[in-house]
Amino acid sequence: MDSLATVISGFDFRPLLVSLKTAGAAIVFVFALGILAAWWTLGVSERVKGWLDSIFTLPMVLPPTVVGFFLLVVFGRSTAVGEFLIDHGLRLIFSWPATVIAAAVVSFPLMYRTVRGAFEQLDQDMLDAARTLGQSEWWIFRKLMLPMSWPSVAAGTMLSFARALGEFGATLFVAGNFPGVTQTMPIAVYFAWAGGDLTTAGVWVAIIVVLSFAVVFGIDACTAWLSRFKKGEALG
Amino acid sequence: MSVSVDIKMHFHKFDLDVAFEADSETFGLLGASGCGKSLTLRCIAGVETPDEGRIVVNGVTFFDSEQRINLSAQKRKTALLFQNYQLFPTMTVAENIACAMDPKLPSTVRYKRVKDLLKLFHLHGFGKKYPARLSGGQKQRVALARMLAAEPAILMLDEPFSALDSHLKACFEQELLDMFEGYDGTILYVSHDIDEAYRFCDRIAVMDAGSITDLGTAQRIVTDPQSVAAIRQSGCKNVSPARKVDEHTLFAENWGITLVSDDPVPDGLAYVGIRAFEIRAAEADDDVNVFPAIAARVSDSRFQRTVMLGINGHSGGNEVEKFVHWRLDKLVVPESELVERGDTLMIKLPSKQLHLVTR
Repeated sequence: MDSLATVISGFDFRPLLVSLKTAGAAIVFVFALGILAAWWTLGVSERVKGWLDSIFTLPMVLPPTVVGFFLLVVFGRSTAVGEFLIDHGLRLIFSWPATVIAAAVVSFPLMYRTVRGAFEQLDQDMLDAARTLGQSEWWIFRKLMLPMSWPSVAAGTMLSFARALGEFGATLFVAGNFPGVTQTMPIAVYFAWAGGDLTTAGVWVAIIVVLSFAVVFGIDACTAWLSRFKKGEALG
Repeated sequence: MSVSVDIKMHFHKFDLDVAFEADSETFGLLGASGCGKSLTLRCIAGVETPDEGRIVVNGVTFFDSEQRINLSAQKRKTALLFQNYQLFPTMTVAENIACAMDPKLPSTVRYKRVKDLLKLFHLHGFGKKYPARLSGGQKQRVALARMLAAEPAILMLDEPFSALDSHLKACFEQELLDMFEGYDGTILYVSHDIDEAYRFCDRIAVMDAGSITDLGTAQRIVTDPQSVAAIRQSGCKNVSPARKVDEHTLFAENWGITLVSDDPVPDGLAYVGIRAFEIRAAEADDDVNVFPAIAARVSDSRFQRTVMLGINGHSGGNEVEKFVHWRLDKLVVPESELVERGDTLMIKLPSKQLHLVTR
């Protein structure tokens, strides 16, 4: 017990805070952009949709290092875009915002795909009925599509949050490993292990497993609770 | 108060090609499922866009491919009544009705109109309920109330009774008929049921594979159908491809018999039809259109016996269209005289009851 107490008292918990802050900030963007992207792609032609869908899904299937590479190209000094941003005060590389961008880009496809799947499941006749009653597309989105898709929106949000918490490769590429600033939990695990500090690595592994489990468990509970109205419908 | 439709649209199963005009009347579109009748309503409502043509409702051009006019479904605001009513499950009954109203109306006016409509459709006390809590009949009435709340330029109903049990249907048909009575615009009514269409509609257009094949008063469609689709849709069970032999005789291919017709046989005769209850038992075989037959199958409903007759030696197999359906009224024919399975007898297809069509 004494050894555990010593470990905890001398332990640097900042990676937990950095991770929660990063995932928390990323999910705000991912939530809004994912839902809007899902809504937007429904309205475009089949061909454009195919292209957009591939582009929006790409960060999920690409190796995180490749995503990191692209982010460096956009925000680093090596390109005109990056130069321009840096000259105008947006020095993002190796700063905390870079962890948010990396986490957001990598977790965006999960939100986008989950919500779009839910939108596609909706009865098109119902949306058409609203149109013939004179309601605008924005009204249909707010009053029908979103409320009927809450279970999926919630699931997508939590999946994206979990993915953002676990982001490693792209983050390391664009944000580096600065304790207290850009060092997230997965990065802490890697550097602790690489430095031979197995105790620290082990503690982080335990924390990450417990947190991830809680999130996944939460998704199931949340989806069941939000789907109540469907059961009511079946009874009616 | 009028509707004029003339549209063409390429569709994966068929080409929709529909043209009709309707005044202040109830105009029915009758046809089998997948014949394009719902698609026609959807084109008028603006949730489906025809390839070419014109749609004008009460003088407002909804669609004109030549003038490049295509009003949005929102601008047309037709409040089309969908088959499954499509009430919004996330809103209460009152909200469902209120959302169809002109948003510029003051909320007090809207509130009062919702109340009036709930009362009109016997839904008082249901305003705060969600659609999932309603019965089928209540859902239908909410949908009708919502449609009227939108004050559409035309009423369009797509099989409003298909989601109701038959005993509910009988009750609500009367209510809907009353509502139609008090409405002085055009009503377009889609159905696959001739009895329903007959009760509701002044005129009926029979649709088949995307086209109107017959158009006339409900009475005329039943007594004198002009297309094979009209013969079938008007409930006639016996239809056969046929060819002209001479001025008053024809050959019915499915049944392998030559028939005499009182009406002159038109050139280019394509089909012959005869209703199941027009067929008679015959005494002797010296009369016209009398044939030996065997009762291959027999099935009973409450008041009728349907006999599947194999004519001219055809006695079995699964080719249902080769049988002639004969319907006997059990209330009129004594039980001892009802035909039983396996009976052989002479039957007569009365020469003045044949429906002859060229398409």
